[in-house]
Amino acid sequence: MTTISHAVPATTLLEVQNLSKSLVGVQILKDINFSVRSGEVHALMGGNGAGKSTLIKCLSGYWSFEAGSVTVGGQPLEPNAGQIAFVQQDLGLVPSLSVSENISLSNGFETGLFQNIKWKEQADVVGALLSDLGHSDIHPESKIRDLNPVQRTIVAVARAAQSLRQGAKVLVLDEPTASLPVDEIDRLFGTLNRLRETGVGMIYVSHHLSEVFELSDRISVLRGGGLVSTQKVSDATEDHIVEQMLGQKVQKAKTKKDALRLVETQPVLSTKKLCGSRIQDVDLDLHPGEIVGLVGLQGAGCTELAELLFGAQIPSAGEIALNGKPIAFQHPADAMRAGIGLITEDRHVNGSFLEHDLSENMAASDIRRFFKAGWLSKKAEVAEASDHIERFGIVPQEADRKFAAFSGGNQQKAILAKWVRMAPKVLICDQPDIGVDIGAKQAIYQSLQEEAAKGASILIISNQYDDLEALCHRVVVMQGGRLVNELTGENINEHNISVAALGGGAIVSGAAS
Amino acid sequence: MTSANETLNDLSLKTSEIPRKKRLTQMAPYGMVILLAAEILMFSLLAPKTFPTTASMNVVANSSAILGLITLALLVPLIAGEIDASLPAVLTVTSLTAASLMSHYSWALVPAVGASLTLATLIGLINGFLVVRFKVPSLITTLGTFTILIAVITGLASGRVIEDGLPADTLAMLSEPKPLGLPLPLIYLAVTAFVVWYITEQTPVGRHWKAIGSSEPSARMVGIKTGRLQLMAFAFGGFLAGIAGTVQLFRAQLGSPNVGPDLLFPGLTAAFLSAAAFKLGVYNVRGAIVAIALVQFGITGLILTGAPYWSDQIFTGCTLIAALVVVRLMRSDR
Repeated sequence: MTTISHAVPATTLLEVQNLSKSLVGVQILKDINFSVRSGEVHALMGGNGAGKSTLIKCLSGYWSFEAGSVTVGGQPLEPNAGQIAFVQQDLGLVPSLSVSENISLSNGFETGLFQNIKWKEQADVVGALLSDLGHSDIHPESKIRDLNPVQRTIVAVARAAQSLRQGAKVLVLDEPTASLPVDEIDRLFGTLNRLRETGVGMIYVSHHLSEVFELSDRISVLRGGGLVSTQKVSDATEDHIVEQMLGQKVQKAKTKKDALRLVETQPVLSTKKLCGSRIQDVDLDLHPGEIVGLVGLQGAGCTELAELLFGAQIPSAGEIALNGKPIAFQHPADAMRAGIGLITEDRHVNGSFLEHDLSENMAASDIRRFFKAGWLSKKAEVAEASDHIERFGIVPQEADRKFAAFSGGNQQKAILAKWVRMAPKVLICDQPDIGVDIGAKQAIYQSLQEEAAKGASILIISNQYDDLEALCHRVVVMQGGRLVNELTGENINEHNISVAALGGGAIVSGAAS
Repeated sequence: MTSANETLNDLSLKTSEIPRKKRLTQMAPYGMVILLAAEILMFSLLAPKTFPTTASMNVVANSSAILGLITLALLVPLIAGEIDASLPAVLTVTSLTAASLMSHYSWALVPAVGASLTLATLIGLINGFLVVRFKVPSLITTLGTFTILIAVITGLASGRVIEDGLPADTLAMLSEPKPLGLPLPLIYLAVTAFVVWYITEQTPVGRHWKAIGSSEPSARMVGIKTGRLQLMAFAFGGFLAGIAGTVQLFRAQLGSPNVGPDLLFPGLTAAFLSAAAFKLGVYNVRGAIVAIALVQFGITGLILTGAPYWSDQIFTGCTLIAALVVVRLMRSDR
């Protein structure tokens, strides 16, 4: 099949008309109109909460929708009818199964007379599929867990391609490059272009402006559940798209926060050419009283850097110095002794003890202080917890309530209380706003500002760029495990942070590090 | 301020239901205790002449001791997030080793017991090392050591009991007296239970175990040295299984290759069930004691009411499942 020219209107494969969707009384999607043509890559962009994933879930049949219509190749959309192929954000592969098995789980096995799987034929079919996509390097019998992230992504694409062969018309890719290093993205794009040439229409969800401009034909921007615009890539500019995503004209930074007097202070924590898993040559200085924002896309290495600074990972090269003296943390306990705290990204995985009492959670970082004369004093533990509950406004005010029974915001306040009690010299907060309501978020930020005013150095990893604009004295940007940009002073605003995080717009940084 | 979720929950309940529901939820931690009381009451009514007597209580106490001790041993690694399934075999190895040292090598009682307890601790330590160092799943690994130990048991005893040349009088003195009317093995259990309770609930080490058991990554991220502490839990579990083996030796006054391995399932069940009492969702010593009592009173009661000999296992199974279901139903949070 030949490449379809944009001058001639291609067949419309997917047509979304006036789609609306509410969840528990809140309208998530409003009146969405959207189409995908054959041979087209249609990019879908928008910030967190814009409605991208809800729209995708409506297309996959995960959600039903109350108004509007979706047709695929002229037929109404039916759940699980295989009309649309998906490459999900987390790929949705079973690690313990082989490439061939994973592809067949959703598309059916080659079976014989007794429903026995014909393994040989099966492997041949999958092998042919992979080599069609230009990836004969992946063996059909390999286990998914033995593949690297690139190969896994290709397997997910191959599985989708198999669905396309079996009649699916449209391919939806939800942030397929999230776990890929920059140089591998080209290879994936090569594969996608081959599919495009066969007349497949694609929806491409991504946060990366540069990718979208390289790959897609049209861009639709969602914001707050509504469709802001659909335009040809040739008519769009990066700045314009970002503006539409943010919903505001680029504006001057508001005057905010106390100007920082860090000129002559010595950094409390500094790294030189620090390397670790996914981290390369990071030079970062954190000064007393400073609030530094750390931004980067998923997989940029922000969390890994936080773990290196906290001793949860061991650096492979480079050095970390505390007050000018080189240190080597072997364990988070060492970092804590040195006055460093870390609020972890996922409090349910590695930041809390869900079935234990609130007071036990707060005491966990140093239970020894309640051990007196051979006994743990529950009384002292609860008394301290009650102080924290009071001070941080945790509701309900029950120290002996199970941690899991508190709301996200109150859980996060409790975790913050645990670290603030230590009077940390450096407090690293990895996405402190996730699953936290707005009131609690403000309270948490206020506490962080108080700690900074007392001389602590705060490092905040966040995707809430407006919050960073309001809070930070400095924002550093990570990409592919490196620090690639730094915003200071007047340059710190939501727009600049967004552009810098997406890797676009070289912004003159106020100070060289 | 009330969270949105709570408001929704409250609204979804009819007003009249709230107090009753709340009371029931508050009682959930004591559900198993209530079940135990009901069980004792029931058998007292069914067999008023035989069940509520000192004699039958002695039977319960005597048979509880070894199961209780091995349950405590299993409980410790469990609290720290791992299973050591080899411990019931460690019990047997301990009692056989002590018996063999006295019988075949003419050791005195104290060094023989000391050496076998050291061996038990060492086996626990080896299990812990394998699990912590190589990050292999503890259940499978310790089932491996269990199998090896069964072979060791056969080698030590050739399928026979070891009784020649044991200081029978001393052993009898260590198990038969009844201070305050309580059988000595029960007192051993009580003392051990107190010690394990103290360590697991009243010391930083115990709290660290508990934290690791709840979430190992979280424990590490609050500065707890998880590997070292898990190693300690395995070693302590081994030591406690050694204590169980020692008490078994005192009680039987011989080294038997048969007592131990068969306690794996009852012991594990009681240890698991401990999380359904007092501190819901958390393995704890008091819960384990109640679970053991629940099982032992039931078995004794059945014998005394003349139920067929095979009914006790059906009863045990049913009690355990019933206890879990009752507590689950009483809970509101999950």
